[in-house]
Amino acid sequence: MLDVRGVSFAYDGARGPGSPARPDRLESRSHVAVREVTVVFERTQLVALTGPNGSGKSTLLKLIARVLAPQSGEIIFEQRNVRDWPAKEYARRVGYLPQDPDPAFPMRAIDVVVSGRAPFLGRFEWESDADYEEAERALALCDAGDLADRYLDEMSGGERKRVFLARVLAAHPRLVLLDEPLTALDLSHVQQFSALLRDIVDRTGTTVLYATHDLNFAAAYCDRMLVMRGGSLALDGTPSAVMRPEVVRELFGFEARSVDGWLVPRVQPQTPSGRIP
Amino acid sequence: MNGPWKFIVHRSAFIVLLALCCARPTSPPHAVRRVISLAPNITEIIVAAGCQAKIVGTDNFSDYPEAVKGLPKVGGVEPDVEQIVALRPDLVVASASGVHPNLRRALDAVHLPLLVIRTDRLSAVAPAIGEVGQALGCPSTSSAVSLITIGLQKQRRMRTHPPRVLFAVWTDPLYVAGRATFVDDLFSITGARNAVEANGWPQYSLEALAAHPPDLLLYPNHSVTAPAVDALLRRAHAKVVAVAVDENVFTRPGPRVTLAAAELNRILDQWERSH
Amino acid sequence: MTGSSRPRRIIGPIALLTGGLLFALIAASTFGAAAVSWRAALAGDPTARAVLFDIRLPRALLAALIGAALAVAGVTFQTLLRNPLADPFILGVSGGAACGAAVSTALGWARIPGLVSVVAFLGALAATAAVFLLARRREYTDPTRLLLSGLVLNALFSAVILIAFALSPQSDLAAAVRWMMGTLFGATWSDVALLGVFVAVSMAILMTIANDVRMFAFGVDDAKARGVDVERIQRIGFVVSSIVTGAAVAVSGIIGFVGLLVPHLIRLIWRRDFRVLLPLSALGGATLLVLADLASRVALSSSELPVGAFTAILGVPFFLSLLRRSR
Repeated sequence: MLDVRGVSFAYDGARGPGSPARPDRLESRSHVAVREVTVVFERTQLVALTGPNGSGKSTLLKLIARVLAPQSGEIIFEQRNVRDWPAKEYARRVGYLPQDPDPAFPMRAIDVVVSGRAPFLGRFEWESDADYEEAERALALCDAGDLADRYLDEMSGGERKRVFLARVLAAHPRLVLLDEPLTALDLSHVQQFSALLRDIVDRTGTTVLYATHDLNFAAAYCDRMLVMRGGSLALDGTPSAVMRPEVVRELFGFEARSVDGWLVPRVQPQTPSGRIP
Repeated sequence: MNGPWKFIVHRSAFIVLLALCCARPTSPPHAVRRVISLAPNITEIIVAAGCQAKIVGTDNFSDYPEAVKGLPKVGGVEPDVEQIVALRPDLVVASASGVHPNLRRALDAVHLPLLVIRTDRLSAVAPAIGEVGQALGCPSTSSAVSLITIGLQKQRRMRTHPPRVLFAVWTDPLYVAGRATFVDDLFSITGARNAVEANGWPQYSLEALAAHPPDLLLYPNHSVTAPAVDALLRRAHAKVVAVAVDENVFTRPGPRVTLAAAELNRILDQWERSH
Repeated sequence: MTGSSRPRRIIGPIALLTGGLLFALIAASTFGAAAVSWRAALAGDPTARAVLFDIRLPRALLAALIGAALAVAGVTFQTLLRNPLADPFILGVSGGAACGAAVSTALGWARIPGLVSVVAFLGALAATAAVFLLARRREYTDPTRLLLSGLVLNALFSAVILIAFALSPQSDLAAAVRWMMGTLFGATWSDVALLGVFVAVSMAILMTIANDVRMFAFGVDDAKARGVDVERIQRIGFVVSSIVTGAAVAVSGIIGFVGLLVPHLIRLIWRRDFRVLLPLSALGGATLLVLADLASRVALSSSELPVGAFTAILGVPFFLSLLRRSR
């Protein structure tokens, strides 16, 4: 479904946070965020994108979402280059949720979610009753049906994330891209949200690619895990292939051991003088 | 006396002596030989009183009589105190309506006396000449004063049907001369009636101009142009006779008030003849 | 399913605000410095006709157009910049216009009817162009740089204005200062027609891109991902808003408060997105300015006060009461 082929992208610090460097100066003085990444996604997959901060996870998601354009390589979605897809049509099929979404003005949840139907509207069209029904269905799917009439600033972090997930789902996309949806959620909400994503993938056949820092929850629910480092794709495999102490040591830089399928950091015992041997 | 007290008394005496020698008097000295005028009407008043030779510098706007134009200029709204000092005057004379609030302090700091003269109303002009003449010791003071007084008396008119007159100082928006102003005094003396009821220099509404148009509209010939007046009258849909008057005479309370009154009388007489 | 989350109709608020505007226009035409009646005007009395149809009515309509222009520009800037504190003057438009007016006053051009307005409009356009050029980075217009450029240019313009005023002839100065405070004196039907064209065209263009503009409220990246051509929409929105603001300022001077607070007033009452806020803000801004101009004309019997003072006097208490009642 989605074919990422040798994609690279560098930010030009002097020109602005979202602006790409000029193609001929890819390596010069600018920050290469994504380096020759090649990966293929099929339908009905829950894929976790992990890696240290600055490894290029957000940039990769933005490249797939068409927020940024790659400087080399190409991204093929359903046999067509992403560049060649009309913007609105692509937006109907690929949903994107950026980190920390924060609408500038107070809004009700239902209005936030129904705005996810925007790619289906013509220039002068208003949302129809059918669009509102889709919005309500999306909220129900995300276990947020009772939040419809509440205002965003009255909600907890977990509730807001669910509303924004519903907004992405309201368009029934085939591919969902989520940039760190689990940060700042408490443990029960992380579990609930992860279970929700699993449920959506299984029920609707959508592919969900989400960036996360929590390896264990990702491993518990995902079909596949990608690990990025320094802009390159370091590892692409099943959770059991990725969740190994040697992987953690090499890619994340700390010692861990496997306990019942969970990766637990190895804590050094302390000497009487307080120093680590 | 014992030690400390002796010290204090001697020190105090020293300071008092120092102050006595070095302090300068702030009241005008008896003989004023060099004077600076900070307003065009003050300049004309000094000249009318007979002390033109004593003027060593004026403000930027003084332009009458002709000879005054060549004198050194010391500034406009905020006169340059350094330039004033450089001209070494004995006295600085300013008009009460144009004096900058900090001027007195600035001149005190350089020990220059400042004389402020009130000239905002017609009745203040003759006393102003007298006050200035006395301060400067001018020869023609009394004759100048009586010239004004008699001249104004000659221009006094009573008209059976006083024309309603409007004096516009600006057209967009319309600012006019109201009651209790110098221009209003000119109207009173020449037997005209000010179409404006409010005091001071208010903004006049276009509607009032349309609903109760005056008989005559007068405007100063430099600040206000004929096209501007035409535009104003067109917007108000008012057919009013508009006449330009000499700005330097009409808005400058000085010895030429008699000319202003005479010109006004001429305009009013002409209007009365054709109505 | 909750029935209350159905889309609410837009007709109600529009009808309400249109009614308010009509009421304000009628009031503004009825009251004023001269005591004339509608009956006399309709009967053919020339003075009454002149006052009502040639002085009061065009002035009231001009106030409505200016209020609409400023409110529309304000809501557009606030949505595109995602900044509730944005107003139509934030990108240097007012500074440029005021600079043009001040410099032409210093040169004595205020004595030629209409010239100051033209120079003010050109100043507004020049300022807008300058701000965009300063903020441009190849293909990318950063909103933060835009705001900073606007701020810096406004400061520069203030300096030029002060110098120009210091050098202006005293007689011309009072009128220039009054222009800076906002004045609708001497509004004519041709003013109404000219500004009417600007406002109508601008609103039409903004309504065309409204569906995309409202997506900015969720963030630029989000809007891009949803298929919005962010660069193009930003450019159109900013340019159209700046031009209509420049036209309004050229006619009447700088009237603050309307562009900043009317969109918030509308939002507090109706809480809808940009597509709805745009026409409602236009109507709300129009009504506020018509009433403010009426108040500025009748507050003192003998003189007119600056209209900008009354937009605040009328708008602020209303705004505060809404703020207190809101969640």
